[in-house]
Amino acid sequence: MSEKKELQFSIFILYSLADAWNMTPVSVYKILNTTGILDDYVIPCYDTLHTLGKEYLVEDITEFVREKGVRI
Amino acid sequence: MTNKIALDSIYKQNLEQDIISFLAKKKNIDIRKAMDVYYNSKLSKQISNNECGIENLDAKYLVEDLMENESELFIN
Repeated sequence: MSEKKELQFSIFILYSLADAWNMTPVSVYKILNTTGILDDYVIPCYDTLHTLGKEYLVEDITEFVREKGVRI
Repeated sequence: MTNKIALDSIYKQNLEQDIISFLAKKKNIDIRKAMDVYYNSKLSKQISNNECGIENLDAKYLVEDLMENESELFIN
């Protein structure tokens, strides 16, 4: 990640998921980091993802996390 | 009240962005590495839990504090 806009978007995702999962953003970061979703999906797909709505993003990433075997 | 919760969330998102950006600049590391350091720090948990109103302090001060008190995070 080299640009601040990607950082801002990643933090927005952490907070949106934290709200939906009733967790802290720190706990959400650990899940997205260990599953590789942050480095392999959220950051590299920023150009596409940042055009989508918050509700869709939460639903999409929640499904992805579950596919990785994490219980949410 | 809902607006206050939403505003608090946006305030913290901006604070975390400032902390991570300043940390990256100060330590001359990639933003992604700075993000990892921050979210593995005690500081991030304290901000998340609103401990002692720490979230109201300036981002640059918090970064200095992080570098001084959690130097073990910068090994490697």
